[in-house]
Amino acid sequence: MSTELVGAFIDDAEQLAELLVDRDRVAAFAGCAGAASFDAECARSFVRELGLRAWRRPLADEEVGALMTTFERERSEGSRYALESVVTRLLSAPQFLYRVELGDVSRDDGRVRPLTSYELASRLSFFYRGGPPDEELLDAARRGVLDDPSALRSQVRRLVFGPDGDLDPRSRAQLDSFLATVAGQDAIATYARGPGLDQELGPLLGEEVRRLIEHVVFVEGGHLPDALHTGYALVNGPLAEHYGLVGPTGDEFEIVPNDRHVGLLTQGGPLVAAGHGVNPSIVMRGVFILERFACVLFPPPPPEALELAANLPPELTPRERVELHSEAPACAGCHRLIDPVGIALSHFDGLGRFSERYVDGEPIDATARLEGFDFEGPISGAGDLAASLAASEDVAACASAWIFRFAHGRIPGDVDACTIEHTLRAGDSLVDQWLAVGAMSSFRFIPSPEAS
Amino acid sequence: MHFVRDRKKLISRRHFLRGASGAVIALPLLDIMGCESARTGDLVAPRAAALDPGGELNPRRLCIVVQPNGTLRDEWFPRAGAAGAATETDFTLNHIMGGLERHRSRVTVLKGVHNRLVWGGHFHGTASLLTGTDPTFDPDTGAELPESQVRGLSISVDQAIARHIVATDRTAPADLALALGTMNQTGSGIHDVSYTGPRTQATKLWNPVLLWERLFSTPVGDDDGSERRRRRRASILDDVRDDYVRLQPKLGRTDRERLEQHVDAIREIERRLSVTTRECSTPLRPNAEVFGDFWQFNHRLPEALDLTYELIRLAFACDRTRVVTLLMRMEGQSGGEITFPWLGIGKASDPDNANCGTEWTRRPDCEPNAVCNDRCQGPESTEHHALSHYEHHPGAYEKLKRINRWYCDQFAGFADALARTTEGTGSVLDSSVLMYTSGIARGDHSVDDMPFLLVGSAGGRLRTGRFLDYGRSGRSHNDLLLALLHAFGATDATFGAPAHNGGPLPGLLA
Repeated sequence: MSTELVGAFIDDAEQLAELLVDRDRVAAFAGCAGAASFDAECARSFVRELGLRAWRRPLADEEVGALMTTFERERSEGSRYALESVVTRLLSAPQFLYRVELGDVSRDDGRVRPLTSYELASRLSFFYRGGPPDEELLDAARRGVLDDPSALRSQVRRLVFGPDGDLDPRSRAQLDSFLATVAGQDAIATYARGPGLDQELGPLLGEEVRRLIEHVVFVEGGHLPDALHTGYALVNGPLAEHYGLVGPTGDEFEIVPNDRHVGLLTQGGPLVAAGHGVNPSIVMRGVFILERFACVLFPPPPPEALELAANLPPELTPRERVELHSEAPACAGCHRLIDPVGIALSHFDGLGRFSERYVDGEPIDATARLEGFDFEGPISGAGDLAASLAASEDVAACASAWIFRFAHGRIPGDVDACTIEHTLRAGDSLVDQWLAVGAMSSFRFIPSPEAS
Repeated sequence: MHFVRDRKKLISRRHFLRGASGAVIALPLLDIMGCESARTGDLVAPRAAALDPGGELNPRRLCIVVQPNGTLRDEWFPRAGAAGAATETDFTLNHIMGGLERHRSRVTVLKGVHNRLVWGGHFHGTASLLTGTDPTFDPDTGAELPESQVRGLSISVDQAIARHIVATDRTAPADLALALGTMNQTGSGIHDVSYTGPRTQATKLWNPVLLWERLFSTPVGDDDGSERRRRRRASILDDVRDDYVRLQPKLGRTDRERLEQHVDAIREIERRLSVTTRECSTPLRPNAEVFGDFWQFNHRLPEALDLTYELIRLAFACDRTRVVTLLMRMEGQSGGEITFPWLGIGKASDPDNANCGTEWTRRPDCEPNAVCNDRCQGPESTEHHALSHYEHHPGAYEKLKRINRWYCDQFAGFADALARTTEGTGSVLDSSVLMYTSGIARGDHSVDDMPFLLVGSAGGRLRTGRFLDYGRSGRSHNDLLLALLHAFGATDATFGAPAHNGGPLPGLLA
């Protein structure tokens, strides 16, 4: 928390307080209409009502009492000024600026305790709607019905789908933000502005990724691994021209069935993000795909490996260079996993354009042997790679782990394996897994302080 | 899956907020990590400032004052010091700067700084002065422009600094850069020094009534939102801090530490509030009948400058603005004859004929006239621009010496007033830099060895108490403009025309 940021929060709290403490608003909220000034009772009532929304739970009597000391002290400056001061304090408090989750102490079993019903309402709302709970959710919390699995499920459905059964826009925004994170849209946007990319193409690469994943998830009812192997490209005129595909000519996006451009991995966006620009590096592609879709985190190369890499003969082809990895024990441990994945994409240049030959005219060899996962075995080219990944349980587990991480703000640990397996069931669509998050025990319980 | 067994390490950590397992505080409402990384650059200055509370927390200000018609080099550049020829630290302020003797330790006089962009002249000199561009040619057609069409080809340094402040300091006032002048005309290079973009002059406030309305029509004090917020903030920050401290014992170690950072930030804000008490009050509205139109009228100049400097001082003290550029009078003669009756040089010009100046240029004689008091082109003239062409004539030289001294004395009085205005533990002058200059170097329209005088260190960013002589080969004045920009925290590699950049003027930045 930098001083500048805390200062900005306080600025905002002050400005909000000035807006909120308006006679009509106070009257509507606290039921003390007509008064020329706010008496202590009216102020107290306003603080309770505003506190319920801002802190997302009812305030305890002693909390109201503590806030009212500010009112009493500032009262000589006028009751409106004094109430603004209280509201500023309310909106600068940790209970407003942070999500405080202390859990229900009375139901602590020494190992875990459930969230209080208001804390759970907040978690649900921030996850599914990206904002604080609405009146209906607060009311459900007040009635204590969120403990009931079917009531919880129906609240989740209500938050995700609007009254007409379509995705609620706020809930759709949360899903979009999740999908953008998993697809690496930040990195795509960063590197698609770099050298070697024209200004028209750059933004289209991110757009292409977004549309493909959305089509798979929302139209086909699939999950992230399905986007790796669609068997088609989803392009508009400029993108079709870029990839050399026979397809649409205008700005509309259309599905173009294709056995080379088979999904996410052969799109320009992920390739630019993987290569940190227009760079068809076999190693960077392998690392990018395995980190993102198999949830592997590779350690940095050991010093011996870096030294080897710096002293390679310059005349080697990219493929010959990576083949040397298997001869050096310092490299082989990681590169036997990384390199085959990158080699399989050799037909695609830094921007996702397919070619049959290397620059020197030799035919491209994209055959490799995948190792180390449940997608082991010989493959040839991007189509085989995509099919292997899309069918892999390791990749499916990684997709679930992304959802877990987005929902909980932490990396899943060993203790979470069971709840993930039971709730985010493999084979379910992304939207179904998304709906299941609210019922996960890891979402509803926190560890006892003694246990952590 | 054989390679990585521990699923805790699976997903790259950068993509989400990290919440420890069993987090009591799961997610702050706002994306703290994003905001913090975006603001990393800002963190450095306040932290460093905490080590030196001498005014470091005060906002930095810039005031550029432009005097017309150049100077007298033998009365301007410093003379020999105690031990002989003038050196960087051993020198004597010359006659024109006599009024600044009491600020000697804050003064920096530059020599060998040339305007290499233009051949000279009032129009070209003024248009290139703060923009660092050559305004001679039409940027589209390449054709040489008539004088009336000459304008700066980029943003001027004062406006560029203002933009940098707005981009980096969230406490900056909205009305950040003011261009002040003394004529209600605008257009060609001679009328303006401040540009918001290529060939686009900043709107000029050309009399003190307009300046007052712009800055003080919302009074300082109880009716002013910012002052009221300051008072409230000071009184309730204690309460807010308590709210954090009370929650801490209920939390795990990681979360306690997170809130401790928040508490530290609140303490820092409280400390800043306590040191930034300002000597600030709302000035009275200037009399519009006297000053609303006065700058057309020569004989009001002393009062008008006094009033203008006082309004700038209060605008700084109340943090209503941070950057001001004042063109004290227009260069050359167009727009009125400039006489100095309060110095015994000429009579007051008649307010009914503001264009006497343009008329005299057509008349070689010195015959008095009912409307214009001075129609003389020669050394006997009592008009500033006319005199400036005769500095080799003893009578004209003596008058010019008094005129230049008078202008600089007014500027020195402004520095005095800023030094007397306390702010925190220092003065407003401590956190400011004032630059005094002219559109040309001398009356012969030359622009080499330009007069540049700085007072103040901009809160310790500039070395002061110096005479910096860059010698015969010298430096381009773009390098000075760039150094000023850097003194305000910008890191641009060049300013104005790139070909005339050699890096920030050496020896100036602390």
